[in-house]
Amino acid sequence: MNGHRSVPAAPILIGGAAAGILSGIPLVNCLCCLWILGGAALAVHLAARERTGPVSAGDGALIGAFTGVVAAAANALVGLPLQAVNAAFMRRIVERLAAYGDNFPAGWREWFDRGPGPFSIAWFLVGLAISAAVFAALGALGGVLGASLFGRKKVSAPPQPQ
Amino acid sequence: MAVCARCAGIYVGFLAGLLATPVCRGFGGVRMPPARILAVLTSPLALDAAANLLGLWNTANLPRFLIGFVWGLVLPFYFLAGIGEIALRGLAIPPPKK
Repeated sequence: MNGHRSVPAAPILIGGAAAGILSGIPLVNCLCCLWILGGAALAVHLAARERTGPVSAGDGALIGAFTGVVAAAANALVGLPLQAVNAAFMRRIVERLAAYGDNFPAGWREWFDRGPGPFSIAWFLVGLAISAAVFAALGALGGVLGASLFGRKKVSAPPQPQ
Repeated sequence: MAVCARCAGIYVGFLAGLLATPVCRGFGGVRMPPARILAVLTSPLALDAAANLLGLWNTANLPRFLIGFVWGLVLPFYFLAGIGEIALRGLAIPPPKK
């Protein structure tokens, strides 16, 4: 990346963990994709502090995409123990919406009563793959925005020979 | 997926921006717009969202949509700059000179 070959692993892990955990906590996750944008921008900010040169748009996009993948993994792991809480929260929202709408599909209460069912590693991996793709795209956007805000640095000219 | 009017505006604006970016900047531009443009256009969105969250005022759907649309419209100019740079880097094509 721009002559700097090492991948900024720590910023990516920090930004991805923060974004993934916050987007998995009920109520807090109502900001949905903004957490991913923010986490990616944070990763770019931390990466910019580690290097002397500017962070280009492409570097920001790559850092942000990797941050999004880490966020998807963190979100999936945080969501496992919070599944029941998230389901209860979603049920309350749907109950409020159903009170105003006449066209809600029948049987939605039974669907919520049935719950998510036994844990399936296959569905977990499918969900993880989908969210990784979506979060990577959002992270790339957040990374570019972060590069715009934090990545521009004036590169000092080399000293002139006397 | 159900989203609020603000988010819907952001998504629609982003789609419109994806179409507008090549028209405005051509297909060779990989330079990001200045950060101050992003800061200026993010301020109304952040202010409106914070005010609604704190209960200071309740914005109607149309202003929410328009505020989100304007912010979403400018995002592709940054996003495509990053994607374009990665693509040019992958093809080993140097970016156009400023």
